[in-house]
Amino acid sequence: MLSSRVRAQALIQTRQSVRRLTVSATDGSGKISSLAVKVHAGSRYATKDGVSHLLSRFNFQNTSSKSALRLVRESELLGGKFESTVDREFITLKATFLKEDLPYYVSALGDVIYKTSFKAHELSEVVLPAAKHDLAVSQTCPITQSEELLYSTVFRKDLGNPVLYDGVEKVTVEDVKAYADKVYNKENITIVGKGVNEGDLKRFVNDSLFSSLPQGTPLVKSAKPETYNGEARLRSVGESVASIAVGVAPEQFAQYELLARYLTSPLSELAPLVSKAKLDKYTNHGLFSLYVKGPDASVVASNIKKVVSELKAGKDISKAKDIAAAQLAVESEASFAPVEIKFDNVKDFKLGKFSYVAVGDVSQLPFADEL
Amino acid sequence: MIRTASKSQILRRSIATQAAPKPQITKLSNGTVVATESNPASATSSVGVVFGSGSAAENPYNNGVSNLLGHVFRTENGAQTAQQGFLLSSQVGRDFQSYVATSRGSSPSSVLELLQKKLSTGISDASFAASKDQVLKEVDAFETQDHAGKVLEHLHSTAFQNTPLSLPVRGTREAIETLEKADLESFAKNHFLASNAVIVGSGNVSHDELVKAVESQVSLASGEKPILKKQSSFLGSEVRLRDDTLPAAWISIAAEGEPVSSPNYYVAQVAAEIFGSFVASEPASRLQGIKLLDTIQEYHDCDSYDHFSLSYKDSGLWGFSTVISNFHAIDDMVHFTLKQWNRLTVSITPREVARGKALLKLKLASAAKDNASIATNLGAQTLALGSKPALADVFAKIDAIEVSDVKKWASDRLWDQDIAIAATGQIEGLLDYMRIRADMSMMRW
Amino acid sequence: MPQTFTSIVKMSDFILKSPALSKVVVPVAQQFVKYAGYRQLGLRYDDLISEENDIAQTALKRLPEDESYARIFRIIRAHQYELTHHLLPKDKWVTPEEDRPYIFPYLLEAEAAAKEKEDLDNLELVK
Repeated sequence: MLSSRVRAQALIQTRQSVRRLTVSATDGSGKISSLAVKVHAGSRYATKDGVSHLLSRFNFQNTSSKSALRLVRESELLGGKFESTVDREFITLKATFLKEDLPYYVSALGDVIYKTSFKAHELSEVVLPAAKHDLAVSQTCPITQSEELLYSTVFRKDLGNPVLYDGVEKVTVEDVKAYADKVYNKENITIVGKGVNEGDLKRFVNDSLFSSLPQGTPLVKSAKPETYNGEARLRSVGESVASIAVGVAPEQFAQYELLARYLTSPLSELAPLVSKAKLDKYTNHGLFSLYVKGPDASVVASNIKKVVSELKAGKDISKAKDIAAAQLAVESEASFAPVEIKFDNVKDFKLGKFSYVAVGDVSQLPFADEL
Repeated sequence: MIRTASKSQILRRSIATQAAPKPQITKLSNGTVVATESNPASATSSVGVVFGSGSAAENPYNNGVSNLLGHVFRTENGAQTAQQGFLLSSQVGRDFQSYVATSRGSSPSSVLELLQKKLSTGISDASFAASKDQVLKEVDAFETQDHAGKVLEHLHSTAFQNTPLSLPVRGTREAIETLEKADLESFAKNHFLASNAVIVGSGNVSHDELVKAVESQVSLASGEKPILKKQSSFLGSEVRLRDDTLPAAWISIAAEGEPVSSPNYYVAQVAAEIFGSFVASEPASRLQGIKLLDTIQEYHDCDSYDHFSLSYKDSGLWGFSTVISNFHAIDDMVHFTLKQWNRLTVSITPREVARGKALLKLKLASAAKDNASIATNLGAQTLALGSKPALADVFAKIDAIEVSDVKKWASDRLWDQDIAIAATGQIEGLLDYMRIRADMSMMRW
Repeated sequence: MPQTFTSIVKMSDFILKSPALSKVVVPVAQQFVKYAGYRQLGLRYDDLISEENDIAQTALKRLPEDESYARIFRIIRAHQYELTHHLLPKDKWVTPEEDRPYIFPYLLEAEAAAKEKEDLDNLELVK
């Protein structure tokens, strides 16, 4: 009786350990490989504002088995480099290195995910200054500022959380550690390799600390988030930006993706007026945003009025299908997460309700109801 | 105690690898050279033409003509090619200019048709005017915003003064303003010749198919390959554009480097990689194994620096660019950096050279990512060297570099050699030429 | 070998592990503490460690705020009493239980990091 229960338990345990990490790879003929560990730990999952940014900056700091210094020094002798980035969905740990060093980099990344020490002095001496610098850089760019405001206007919470740590809500090293414990689990991370043999990668991942990560729950969200329409204005020195955004459901991705590419291609007579147009795609929702930028706010004002009125009147965007497909193909080759979008059913576009953000010399920029 | 981070036997476990694509080159009977670096796994293909004339082939009166030609290529019929799904790109270097179209799939003939049409038909007045306008805007933006880039251009202009390499790649506002359509056409007539061109392909394109298509579709004008009237030569000199309204100091200093065909090309690259680059705001950058960083970080001597080894057909530049917001540290930064250069000749260690070699390999292998830049690179190298060496051969060359090679190169090319200096921003603290020149050697060590 | 914080800890661990050695050395140490008299001035042993070097500066910077404040208070108080040739009232003397190392862990950490940097700077490659 007892022994059979033990056996049953052992069986359950082995089943669980069989549950593997999501690992995928595409091989290439180059001399170089890159690995990305994508963790669903971006700002939309943040327990406190900016904690994801700080965790991202804590990656590649001291671990209990290897100091940050030793990691950098070893890695440069092998010919490789590390990088950790944060966005709304992911914290991405990326390593680029010469092909033959795959085992070292898999184990180093596993080390970082599993054993980072989170020492208090690292937060004040290394992480916070770096985070502060990131914020300062982002605040010099009016388009990034507009984007941040558009997200918080459209989504308020979740995708609307600030990406970068600004110190408004205090985050301690314990908060970062707790967040790391929450997000770094087997179900919540994906390992993607480029220029890597998939079999090799899986083998090395199994031998690394990745396989010792705890089981957990995936944080990925699938329910449609709440979206709102609104307006925000921010006075700031420098160039002025007027921008609009529309929340996009996954079934409309093709239409808005094509729109963004159409508006920035030579096919559109609006292209010279539009500084940037893009569709950000997430698992359960997306955001289309469009930016008009310029040193002279009155010119920006007339340009955004023109762009919005033309979009409201409707546009045939189908002629951009081929160039959009070509651009996507080029981008997919460089990215870790190739996107496939079929534009076949897209014809035209008409702008409905939208959110609006003005940044810069806002006295000269129009209000949403004037567009 | 001797510790090592070199690859242990365990790390050398077998890893499956695919064979790398080898650049293929064919010379056609009509003199046209076709070069491809195909990668059948790619979803896109890039086909284009690279000419062996860049800004060095211009003169002070038509400087910027290549840049303008590139713009015309991209704007003319922009809408039409976009609808066909072609992504046009063009690039101008000092020794080359490229015209490349990228598309999905692998049929080179439609791209070649487009290229042939573009290169053979004249330029419309409307697209010329629009391109000129755009180019002037970009030149102005470059001059007022990209201080680091501007300083590097001025470094070329002072180092190679009165010789072809001195001209800025983008062109000067004065020259571009006076350009007319006829200038572009006459430049194209003199330089866009079969003898001066390589048809390139990369990505999902087969060499044989491209050769066949080129034979039937492309006819470039014949003629003698244009040769520069003047050789570029290096002159120790300086140019200072002091501007105290700017928030930092941008400084570039270089000695003469290696031309592309030099046997020491990779030695110079390794030497530059030993000091590498540094960004003060990036934590990992501060931990690099570069001796210079100990001094820089203790006194916050600079915000960032970057060592380079730039090579052209006739000559090159080997040196560094830096951005300094701590103005009082300008002299320290320059002095200690040049003292480190001295070490290349006298006391560089095997670890530092090994580090430089590894990072150079990483840099070269990860340089060209998209097919369009692979194609441009292929063309530029084929024109300069007659062929593009396969990466495996390049790696073998880098592996063969010893500490003694670096020391020998540095003692010939850096130790007590003349330097060129260019700087802008708040550079009151940049001491005079002779003082900096004196740092290129030591009385004793 | 120059004396480092790490070597001090190593040596004392060695002494404490051996009953014979500790029987001799520990009473001597206790006498030393008694005659040094720093506890009568309200100081803890770690307050006496020379701070004019990079390692100690790094460690001081990393002290938690309350520890750092208490340290400065003790040092100022000791100076004041020393200046007036007084000892603290007996009930305020630091007891052996209070005289615990508080900065030593930070010193050891900073020293280890500095040693690691030194080692890595002078790394020699073995082919």
